[in-house]
Order: sequence, then structure tokens, then C-alpha cells
Amino acid sequence: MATRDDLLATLESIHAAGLDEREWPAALSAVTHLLGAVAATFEEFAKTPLQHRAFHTFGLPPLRELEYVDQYIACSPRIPAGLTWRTGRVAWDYQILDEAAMRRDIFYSEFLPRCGLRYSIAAVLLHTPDEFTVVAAQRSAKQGHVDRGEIRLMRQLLPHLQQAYDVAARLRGNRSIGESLERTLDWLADGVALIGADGAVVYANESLHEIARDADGFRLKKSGIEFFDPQARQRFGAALAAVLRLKSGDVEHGGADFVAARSAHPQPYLVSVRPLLAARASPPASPHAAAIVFVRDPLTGGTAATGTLRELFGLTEAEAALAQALQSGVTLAEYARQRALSLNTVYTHLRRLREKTGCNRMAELIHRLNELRLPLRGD
Amino acid sequence: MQGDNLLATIEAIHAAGLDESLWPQALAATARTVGGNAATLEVFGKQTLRPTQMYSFGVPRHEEIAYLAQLAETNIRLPFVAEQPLDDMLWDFKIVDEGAMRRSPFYAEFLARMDMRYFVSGIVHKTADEFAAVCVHRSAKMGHIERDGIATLRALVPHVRQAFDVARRLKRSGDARDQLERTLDWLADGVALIRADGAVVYANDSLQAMARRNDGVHLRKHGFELADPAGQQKFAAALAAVLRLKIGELRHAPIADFIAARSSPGQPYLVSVRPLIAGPASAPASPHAVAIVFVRDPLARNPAATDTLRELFGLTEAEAVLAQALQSGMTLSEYARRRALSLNTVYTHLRRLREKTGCSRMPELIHKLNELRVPLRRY
Repeated sequence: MATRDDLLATLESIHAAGLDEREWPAALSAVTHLLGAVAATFEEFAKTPLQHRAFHTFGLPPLRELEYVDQYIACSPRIPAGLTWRTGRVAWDYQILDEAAMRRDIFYSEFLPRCGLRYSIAAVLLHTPDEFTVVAAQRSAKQGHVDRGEIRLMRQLLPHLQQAYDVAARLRGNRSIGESLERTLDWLADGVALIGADGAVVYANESLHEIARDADGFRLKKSGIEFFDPQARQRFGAALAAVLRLKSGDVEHGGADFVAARSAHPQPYLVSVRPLLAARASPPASPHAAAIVFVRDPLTGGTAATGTLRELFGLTEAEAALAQALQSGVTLAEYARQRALSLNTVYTHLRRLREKTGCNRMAELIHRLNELRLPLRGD
Repeated sequence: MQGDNLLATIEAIHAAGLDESLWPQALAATARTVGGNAATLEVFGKQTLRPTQMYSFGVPRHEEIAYLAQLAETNIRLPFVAEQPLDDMLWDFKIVDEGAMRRSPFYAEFLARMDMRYFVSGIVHKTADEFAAVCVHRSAKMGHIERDGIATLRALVPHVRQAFDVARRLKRSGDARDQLERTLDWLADGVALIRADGAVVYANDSLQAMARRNDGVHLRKHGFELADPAGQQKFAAALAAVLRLKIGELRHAPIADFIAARSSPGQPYLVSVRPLIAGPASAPASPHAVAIVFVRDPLARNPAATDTLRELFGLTEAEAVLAQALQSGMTLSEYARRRALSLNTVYTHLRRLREKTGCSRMPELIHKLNELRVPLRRY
């Protein structure tokens, strides 16, 4: 007979699994013992098509697990029944079929005995049009069908299983969006860093790491971004200090744009600092960014993709290539030499390029092409 | 029944972990179950011994404010709570006797006017910087806490600990997500995260503003939409291509850049779709984003800031304004007319602009100016 302490310990292990899914086997072990079973399962299904999204077990041998996954969905009479149950339902075998029907059923008479299982009691944590999540305790033939007391215990566990599942889903949701947002920043051609109140770099995207690798103009350290250009260093320090002085209402007013000289190339970096105020107060322990820094490296700016140019203006490959060259500041004579073309040919391409883009003047053409430049990395 | 009360209290505590507005309810249940007329959950700075966060039941709001503001200083229990081991319980007679209580203003005045006298507490959280304690208060009439009450709180403390942990972790992961969202909100280009079914998981400020202008880009309930049929078709094809990707194929991802006409005349949008495959969860019903959409609106782009131009090249205000105009595609005569300047004056500004930027040819100049555009919203 389960004691109150057993029940409390089981609840604790269930909530621990909500915070860390690796704890599910331990929680399912507690559930197994509490409900006088030999095994327990946690299953999360996507409904169309019906497939496991998450599957945790206790008491099933690992090899059997695979077989279980393969055969379970196909032939278990519990699944079609389960799909009619609502969130919060606790259900057991005799609601689906009686002993005679079990003897005739392949799943009950062939598959389950091989795993040493027969009876089960299930609790539906969540059932929506998209997903179905259920925890079940599996009992042997000898342990027999669940009784009233075990049904009551499962009903007591259910709200806790649901809370734990909710915690896991919310943490996963935040993490997933957070990761997606980070990967979004990784697509940007410009360097992006989140800076803490102490100047430390909380996060830097791939472009910034790449730009910093040359150590040309600035260094990216854990303790902060270090510009070599003394003027840029001073501007950066002042911009950060100004951002830190801001109060929550002033978000729209803080920020600075300045250039930072580099040693290897005359074209400087363009640096922008913007405030990043917390929407709500945070506990002191959270690693908190106070400012965003964007670094544009004009050398990696890239040009409009030839594909886009060809599609947009109906350019030929040669015309699109010329457009790209013009955009990156190459003169016509230079271009002709590099491509081993006659100047006449180049002029012809240029004429067609002007006609097709509808730009008579060169400045207008370059402007137009620049608008078609992607703000993204050219992978 | 005592057992059911305890379970309901545990459930209320875990619910508060997911939603902090439920702490008063959870603490009310805790006070009732343990046997008290009030309960508090307080977080303290370890060095200062001052409360940094407090939830309560049974403490009038104005008393809580007075306590947080200064009276915590008079709390003679605090130094003991600070030293209380994680698995130990603390109550009055462990630290003070009735005589000391009568002499302490905290007991004799502050607690007395709220009809509180005795307490029992357990440690919820403990780090080098801070600690948190849950505390049940009893009136003088209820008397000192007894063995049963202590045992009940002891059973509840692990759950308060878990709920507190859940709240902190949700907050931390939510904060990290907020920071990244606010970073993307600074971009001048529109950004959206798209789910497998086309639904928009996130859209940054620029994209939302673009959609509000109702000029060919729409954010609808079921997803991102382009008014231009050709653009919409390209978008759907790009999303379908992303969905066909398998894990590990990210490197071979189709890069889709295309243009989409706006509803009004004017330069079209430049749209880019990039894959964002988040591990094994690419089932159609998965809540994860699978693709990023970037939308550039050429009409909404900033020219290089005059400040940056003046600073970098030592331009005068007039020269910097001319530079901006050239960048936006204006001809010199148009500019002269609008500004009511003679063409001669404009030519002089242009000559100086060329000299100072070191660009003798116009395309080169425009190119250089374009490099100095900040890809962010104005601050």
C-alpha cells in the first residue's frame, strides 16, 4: 500500500522531470512503484501523421522499446480509444475491452505478454487537434487489473504530471524561439553583439566573430569589444555609458553611430550602439544585456545577387556580372581588362543594363543596384 | 481531509511557479495547511540581509511596503534564516525566547499589529549572493508552532523550491528571448520566423510596421503573405523547399531571394527566405520555426547619417545634405531647385564633397556613401 510519503516523493520526482526531461525515467519509476506496476511510459504524439515526438520509459528493456514503438501504434487497440479521450481523462483497460476481447486481440495476447505486460492505466496530460500526450503505468498479468485505489492515485498524480509537462513545454518554447532568433542573427551580414552593463559580451553573432578574426580594427574579448582606434574607443565608451544612464521610458532616444578606423584598409567599420532595456526588472543573477552593438564591415558588404538581378530586370549573365562589378566600385576599363573583354563589348552591356533597369545616369544605376543588396551573409 | 489539503497546496505551489500572480493563493493554502494566519516567500541579498523580492498572504499591503522599505532591518530572525541549512527548519524557540520577543520591536510592534507572533521557516534557495525562505506565521493566540505543522511545512518546502526554480528558469529563458527579439526590433529590414504550416511565430517591429502600411506585405493569422501573386508563389515554393530539407542538409539549403511588387507604384520589396531547421522536430505540427523571412523595403531605408558623414570626411552641413540627396537618387538640378540654390553653388559643394571623400567619379562616391548607411531604425 502506498504511503503519503511515497506519493509526495513521486510528485517531487514528477516536477523534477518537468525541469529536466532526463529525469523522466526516475519519475516514471516512482509512478510504477506507486501504482503497483512493472513499467511506466510517457508518450507525446503528433497526431497527423500519428508519430512519437517524445517517448520516455521505465521498466521496459531498451530493445523492446524499439519493437514497442514499431508495433504499438499499428496494432494497439488502446491508441484508437485514446484518441477519443479528452485532456484530464484517466482510463483503464476494462473501459476499452474485457478479458475475452483481450484474449482475441493480437496486441494483448501476443505483443504484451512478450514484454511481461498486460494491464495499464493511463492519464491524458494534453489532447489538442495537433497533439496527444499520455502517461501510463503498465502492469503484469499477475499484478492484475487496476483497482479503485490505484485509479484514485492516478487521478491525484494527473494535475502534477500536467504541470510538469507545462513547465517543460514553456521552457522548450522559450529555448526554441531563442535559438531561432540567434540563428536569424547569424544570417545577418553585419556583426551583432549584446553587451552587458559591465561592457562584457553576452552574445556575438557569427558575422561579428568572423570580422573579429582578422583583428583589424577591433578585438572581441569576453570582457568587451576593444577598438584599436582611440577615437572609436572613446565614442564606444561614451555610447555605452549613455545607454546605461537611460531609464525604461527613454529607449527610443538612446544610441550612437560612429566609424572605427582599421589598419589594413582605408574604409572604416561603421559601428552602431543601441539601448536594450529590460521590459521588466530582472533578478540580479540573470546575465543581462544592456546594449546592442552592430558592426558593419564595408568590405564584406557584398553585392546584389546575380540571380535577383537577372530575374528582376531580365539581365543576361554578362549584364548581371557587369552590374555587380559596377556596384563594387570597379571602373569600366578595369572590368574590361579583368574579364578580357573589349571596351566596346562592355559598353554594349552597359547600354543594355541601363535600358533594362531604366536608369540613364550611372549614379542612379548604382543606387538602384545597391537597394537590391542583401543584408545577409552570402553563404 | 489532511492528505487532500496537502496535495491541493502542492498543486497551488507549482501553479505559482508558472504564474507568479498565483503566489498569494499558494501561500494562503500553505498557511492553512501548516496552520498559520499568514505566509511569506522572501528573497534576500546575502550580504545586505535585505529583501529583494517578496510574495505574501495575510500581510496588509502597506505593512509589506513598510517592511520592504525599512522594517526588514529590525527583523531579528534574519541573521538566523541566513545561516539556516537547506534541509533544516527554523522556528522561534530555536533562536529567541518569550522575553527576547517582548523586548524586540520587530515582535512587539511590527508583528503584533498584524496579529502575528510565531513563525516556522524553510529554505527555498541558497547561493553565494542570495537566499530565499518560505515562512508561515501564527498569531499569539495560535501559539508556537507544533511538531505537525513543522512536518507539514517540511513536506512542502521541496515543492516551493521546485516552483521557485521553475519561475527563475522561465524568467531567464524568457529574458534571453526578449533580448534577441529586441535586437531584431532595431533592424530596418523586416524579419519573421515562420512555422512549418506557414504561421508567423515572430515578426519584428519593422515588419509589423510594413504590414500596417498595407502596401503588399501582410501578416495574417495563418501566415505571412505577399499581395504580388508571383512573389507569393516564390515564397510558397521557398518554404516548401525548406520543409523538404532533412537534418544535416542545412548547408545545401536553397537560398531564395526574390522581389515582390508592392500594391502602390514604386520599387518592389526584396524578400529573402532562409532555412532554420531546429533539430529533429520538423514534424508539421511542431511549434518550432523552420524558416526566416527577411523583407527589405527600399523606400524605407535611411540614408547615411549626416553626423557620420561630417565626422568621417569633415564635411560641412551643406555638403553632407548634398551627399544624402545624391544617395537617394536625386539629380543635381532637382536638388538645386528644391533647396533654392544656384547650380553653381551645388557644383561647388559637389567638388568639395568629391575632394573630401577622395572619390573623383560619381558612382564611386555613391558607392562609398551607401557603405555608410546604418541598417537600423533611427534612434
